[in-house]
Parts: sequence; C-alpha cells; structure tokens
Amino acid sequence: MKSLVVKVKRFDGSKTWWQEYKVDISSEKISVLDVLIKIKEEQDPTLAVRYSCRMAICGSCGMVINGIPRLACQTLISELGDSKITVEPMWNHEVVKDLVVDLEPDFEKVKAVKPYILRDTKEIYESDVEFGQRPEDLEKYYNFAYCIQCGICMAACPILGSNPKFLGPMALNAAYRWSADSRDRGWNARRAVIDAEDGVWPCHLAYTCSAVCPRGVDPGFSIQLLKSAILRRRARP
Amino acid sequence: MRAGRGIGEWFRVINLERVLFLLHRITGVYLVLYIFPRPYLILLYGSWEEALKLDMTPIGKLLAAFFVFSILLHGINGLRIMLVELGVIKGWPVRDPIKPTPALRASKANWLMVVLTVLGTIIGTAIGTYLVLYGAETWP
Repeated sequence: MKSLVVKVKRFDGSKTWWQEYKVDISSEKISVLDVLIKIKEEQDPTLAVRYSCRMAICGSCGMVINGIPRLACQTLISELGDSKITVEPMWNHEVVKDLVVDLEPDFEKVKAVKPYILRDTKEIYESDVEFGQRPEDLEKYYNFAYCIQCGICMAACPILGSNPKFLGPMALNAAYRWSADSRDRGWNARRAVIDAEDGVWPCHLAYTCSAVCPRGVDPGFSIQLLKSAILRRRARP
Repeated sequence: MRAGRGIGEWFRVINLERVLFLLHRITGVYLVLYIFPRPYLILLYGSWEEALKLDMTPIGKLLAAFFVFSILLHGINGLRIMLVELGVIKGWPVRDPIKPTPALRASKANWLMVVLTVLGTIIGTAIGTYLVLYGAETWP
C-alpha cells in the first residue's frame, strides 16, 4: 500500500483554494485519473473532473500535473516518482469549476481555420471517382492528423498567456494538416486567417506545445512549416 | 477565472527551447532600452563624447557587458529561429507509440544552432566582458 498526497486547485465560481487529499493506492501502475476518480468516489464527490475514454484518445482529461500539462489518464503515478502530486486546471483557459475548463475558445479558433477539405463543390458532387492520395502525399500530414484536440498544447503555450487572441498550436496544427492534404484546395482561404497578426507570427519557437503533446503531433513544427510556406510563397505547405 | 499566470507564463521553465524563448524576450527588451535612448543622451549631455563618458562608469561597463550578452544571444538564437521558419533547418517528427520525437529535437542542424547559441553567448560574453572591463591593452 502506498500513500499519496494529492493537492488539487479548486474553484467554485468565486474563490480559488488548494485542497489536499490523502489517498492509499495498492499499485503505482494506475493513472492520475484513477486517483482523481477514487477521490470523487470515496472522499469528495464535489470535485469536478472532465474525462471520458480513459485511454488517451478523446482528449477530455487535460490538466496540469506536477507543473506540466498532461492527460490524466495517460500519466501513471509511477512516472511521476513522487508521493506528492499537484493537480490544477489547464493554464490559459477560463476555469468552469475545479479541473474543468472552458474549451470553447479553442474550438472556435480551430473552426476559424476551416478544418475540412475545401474543394470546388462541382468537383465533389459531379465526380464519379474518389479523390486519390499517394502514400507519399499522406506522409506530408499524417503525423499532424493524430491531434485529439485536447488543448494541452494551448495550455503550454507562453504566447497564449500574454495574447489570448493568438490562434495557438491546436488551431494552427489543424490549418497545416488540412492545407497539406493533397486533396485540399483551401490554402489561399486559410492563409488569409493564419498570415495575420494573431496567426502564425506570434509563435517564437518556445516549443513547449510539442514537448507536452500526448500524441506526438509536434504542433510547434507544423507552425514553422506554415511560416515556411507563407514566406516562400508556396502553392501549399 | 483564467488559469495560469498571463504574461508570467513566459517565465515558466518546462523545456530548453522555452528558456531560449524567455532569454530572447528579455534580451530583446534590454536591447531596445539600451540602444534607443542613446541618441537622446546627446540632448542631455550636450555632445556624443560627453554622453559616452557614461559608459566609462562601473555601472556603464556592467550595462555594456550585459549588452554584449544580449546581442549575442538574441542574434544567434534569432538566426536559429529564422532558419527554422524559412525551412532551411529541416526535419520531420519521428513517430513512435511510446516515445515520439518532435522534428526539431530530432534535427541535428537545430541542435547545432542551440549549442552555437549557448556556447557562442558564453564565450562571446566572457571575451566581451573582459574587453569592456579591462580594455584591449591587457588582452593576452
């Protein structure tokens, strides 16, 4: 049996405070999410936590654990190497309650970059064949398509701390993923959004987004690929 | 309530590139504060020569030494950022289910520029500080 001390940053709509919970666990091979659910079930049902799949695919349980934005379901107690755990809501987001943050602004930014295939509707509806893609075309964006839009990169970005209007790594990664897709014809439409004051240019390569991404998406690099395409006036990234 | 520290997020240390980002910002602000007022010192002191006498004071020499540090770090790191943005420093993320590697972490060229930034700044600052404090006459 191991004893953990879990410090959670609480928020009830008006005040913030740190609350400590003592939790006994039988194995360190459990996740921080398991510990938070145990706290909810056995000690404090008022603790608000957002989670769903418990397997790092839905992106719901993003939070800051021991000073680093992570997915709670993917972070094992054994990895942290500490019996004292601090958990707080994702930085750069409005807190709804406790560990639950408002992700709506992030999703609005992703919508602004048109995250879908943009193509002439005549081509789409009048074509008899599907739009083919070679394996080498797929490689150009495949890694960046792993994004589960958890918002952890947005929490990690120092620019979003001082400039909430910055589109951010999540949206810019989506802009790259769809623009680099060989089936897409929407680069010019997206470039108008990303080649702007709050588009790609506020990014100065702090690279924390790529360091913390739980899916290895590397959004920091996709932003540089967008910049390169803009500067070199390429027809597509 | 917005979680985080706002502009204080710049000062959070999580990875090496973020430290370079923070130093880039600090040195950028310092360069502006050091260089921009200099022509206006002529108005205060009457002539460029009189204004330059400020650089001969101990505080002036310390500020000049930090100027050397700032210009080296800001310049070399800035060059690294430009080379990445222009696509000259190339790379690609390494996909791995257990430990994926971001493109710039896998890029030897990027690491070379990081090492150049750190070493160039340290060595250049050491030489520059020596020259500022003791002058070229005592240089071995």
